[in-house]
Amino acid sequence: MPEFMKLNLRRFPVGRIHLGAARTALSGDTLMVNTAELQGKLLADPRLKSVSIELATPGENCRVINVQDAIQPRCKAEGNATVFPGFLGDPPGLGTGVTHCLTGMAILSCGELRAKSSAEGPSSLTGPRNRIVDMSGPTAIYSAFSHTLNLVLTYQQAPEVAPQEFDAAIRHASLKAAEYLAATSKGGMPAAEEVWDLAPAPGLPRVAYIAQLQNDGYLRDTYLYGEVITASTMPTIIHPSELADGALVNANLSFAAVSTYGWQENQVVREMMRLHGKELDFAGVVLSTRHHLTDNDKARRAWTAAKLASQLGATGVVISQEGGGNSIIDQMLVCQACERMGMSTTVLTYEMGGPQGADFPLIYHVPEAAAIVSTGNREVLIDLPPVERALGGPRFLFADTPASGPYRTHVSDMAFAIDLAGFWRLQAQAY
Amino acid sequence: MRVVQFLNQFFGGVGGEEKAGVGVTVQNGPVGPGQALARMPGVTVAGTVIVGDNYIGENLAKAGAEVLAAIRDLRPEVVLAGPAFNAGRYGVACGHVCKLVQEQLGIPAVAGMHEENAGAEIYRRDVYIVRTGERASEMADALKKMVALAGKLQAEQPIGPAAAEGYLPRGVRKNGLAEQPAGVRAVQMLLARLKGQPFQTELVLPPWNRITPAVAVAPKASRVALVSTGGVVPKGNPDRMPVGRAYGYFKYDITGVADFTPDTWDVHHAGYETSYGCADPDRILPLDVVRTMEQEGIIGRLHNEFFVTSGQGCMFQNAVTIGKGIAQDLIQREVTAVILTAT
Repeated sequence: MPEFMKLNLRRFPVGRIHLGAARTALSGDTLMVNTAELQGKLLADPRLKSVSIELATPGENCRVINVQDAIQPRCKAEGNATVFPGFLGDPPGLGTGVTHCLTGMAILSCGELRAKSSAEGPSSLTGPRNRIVDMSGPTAIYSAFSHTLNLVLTYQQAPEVAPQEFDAAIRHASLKAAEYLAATSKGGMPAAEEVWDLAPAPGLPRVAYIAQLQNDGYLRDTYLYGEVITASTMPTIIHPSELADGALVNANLSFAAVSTYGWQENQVVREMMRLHGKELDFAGVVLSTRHHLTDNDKARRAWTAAKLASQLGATGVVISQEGGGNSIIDQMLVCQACERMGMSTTVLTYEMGGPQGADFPLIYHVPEAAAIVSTGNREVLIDLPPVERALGGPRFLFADTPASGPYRTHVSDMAFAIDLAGFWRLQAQAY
Repeated sequence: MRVVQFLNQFFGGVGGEEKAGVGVTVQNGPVGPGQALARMPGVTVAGTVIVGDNYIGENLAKAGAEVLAAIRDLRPEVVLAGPAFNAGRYGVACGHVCKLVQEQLGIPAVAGMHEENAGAEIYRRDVYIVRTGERASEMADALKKMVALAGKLQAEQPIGPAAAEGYLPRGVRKNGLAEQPAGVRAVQMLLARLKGQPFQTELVLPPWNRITPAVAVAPKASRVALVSTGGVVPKGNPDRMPVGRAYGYFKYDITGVADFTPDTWDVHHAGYETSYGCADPDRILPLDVVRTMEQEGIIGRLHNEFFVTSGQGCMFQNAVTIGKGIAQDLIQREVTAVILTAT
C-alpha cells in the first residue's frame, strides 16, 4: 500500500461527560459540553426544530429508544482533511495523517423516523423499526452501547419536513456533533496511539475482509464517501484506514445494520490491523452489495467480490453481511466463490432460530461454509423491565406502550445487538 | 450423591455377546466401572442394574419398566447410564432408561456415549448425554464428566453450553455473551484454518437434501393451482396471516375472480417493500394472466382456491411442513400442476 495511506489513530478515553459547561473542552478524561453552543450548531439546519442533549450512562436505570445511529466522536488532528467524507468535507486526505478518537463514549442519534409514504406500513421491509438500548439490568447484554457513556441527541423535526429530509438532517447533525466533540482533544495527550500502516509482511498468511453492505433504499441504506450505495454499485476495495475515518456511514434502521460506530471501530478490521506484520498480512477490505434479485445477479456479484479479494492476493477472507435472510444467500455465494478460488473463509452471521432457539438457524448455506461465527439468535423474546428514565421518544413503535416499559419484544429490536460485522459479543451456542 | 448405575451385560461382568439376552439383575454397590465411580469424592453407588443388550433391545417397554422398578427400589438421587461409547444397542438402552427415570422418578439421569451412537440421535433432545470417544479406555474421563453434570442437575444449578459442559447438543441454541467480539473471533478462526490448526465452527450445518422435480405435465391437460409465498390475502387480512416467520398457510376462494384488485385484496409480507404489491396484487400472484391462459385454453383449468403464506424468515423445517401440507391439500383436490410465486 502507498505511504500516503498511513494513519495515526490517537485514542482519548472519556470517563465522564459534564453537560451545561461554560466551554466545550476535554480535561483529562472529562468531556465538558457547552450544550447551548452545540444545540446552536446543530439547529443551523432549518429542517430541525429542536434537539435535546442528555446523558445515558452504563449501569443507570435508563433506556434509550429510536436510536437512528451510534457514532464515535472523531476528527482529523490537523490540515484540511475531514472525517465522514461527503458529509463534512471532501475525501482527499481520508485515511492518512492523524485522527483523534474519543473512546469509551458514543453519540446516540435519536428521532422518530417515518416511512416515506403512508402506503407502507409495519408489514413492509423498509419501514421504521424499534432500536433500543437498555443501560442496565438483564437486557443490557443486548447492546454494545449499554457499555458506552452515551451522549443522547434527540431531534424533533420542523413542520412540513418530508421524512427523508428529517432523516438526512439528523444524520448530518450528529456527524457534525461527532467532529465538534472530538475537536476538544486537539493539542492534548492521547492515552494510546495506533499506527495503521500496511507495510509489506512477506511470509505471513495474506487475508482480506469482505463486507457486504445493505442498500435497500430509504431507512435501509449505507453511504460510502457520502454517496448512497445502490444495487448498481459494483464491489470495490477500500483501505482499512478509510473506514476508521468514517468512509462508511450507516443510514439503516434494520435489526441487521452495522452502526457508523461499528464501521469506525470494526472489530474484524481492528483485529486484522493489530495482527498485521505479526501473524498475518492484511491485504485490505472489499465492499460488496447483496439482496440481488436474480440468480445471475447474485452469482455475478458473488464472483466479483471474491475476485477482488483474490486480486488483493488474499489466501483467506472473513465475510460479513448486513441485511435479512436474502442477504445470507448472497453471503453464502460469496463464501462459495472464495473457496472455489482457493481462499479459506470464515463467515459472520446471525441466527434465526425461532423464539426457543430450536429451529434451524439459517435460511441458506453452502457446504463450503465450514467456519461460521455466530452473532446470536435475533428471534428470542425478551422482557424489557420498567425503567425510571427513557430517552429518545415517548413510546415504542407499533405498540401503545410507553418507553419506560415493561415491554416484551425480540432481540432484533435491541440496538445493534446482532451487529453482523461482529462488533458486539452476543453469540448463540448449542445447549 | 447417591447413584445407581445402569450397565449392560458386558460392563456388568455377566458375559459377552452370548449373554446379550440376559434379563435384569441387580447388585448392591458398584460393579465394574462403578468401582471408579465409588472412588469419587461425594459419590455413593447404592447399586447397579444390569441388563442384556438384546433383552432390553427386543422389548423396550417391558424391560424398561423392569429396570425402572429395580432402580426405584434402590432409591438413588441420580442415575448414570453407561457410558455406552459406540455400542448402539447399549446406547439406545441407556437413553431409554434415562428418559424413563426422568419422567417417572423425577430425578436427574445422565447417559454417556459417542455422538454417532444410534441412541444419541434418538435421545439427545430429551436426555443429557455426555459426549465420549469410541473406546472404553476413556472410561474414567467419561465417568468424571457424567458425575459432574449429574451433580449440577441435582443441585439445580444452571447448565452451560454443550461444548463447555461436555454433553451432546440437545437441539436448542441460546444467546449469551462471548469473551471476545464476533469480529475478533472470526479473524482468530480464519487464522486457525490458514495455519491448519483445529478450529470449532460456532454453527454446525447439516447437508442439504436433493429434491427430484416431478415429471413435467402438459399444461392444456392440467388442473393448475396458484401458490404464493408473497403474502396475498383478502383486504384487511381477516385471518391475521403473519407477515413473516410462518408456521402455516392459508387458502382463499377465487371462484369467479378474474384478477386481484386493491379494494378486495392486499399484500402482507415483512421481507420486501409492499406498496407496488398492495396497489395491484396481481404483481405478486398473476391471477389475471393465468385467467386469460385458462380462457385461451393454454392451461386446462385453474383451481378455484389459491394457497398463500409469507415466506419472510421462514424456518427450514417449517417450510418443509408447509410445503407438505399444501401438497396434500392439492392432491386431495386433484390438482396436477402448480404455479408458485415467491418474493
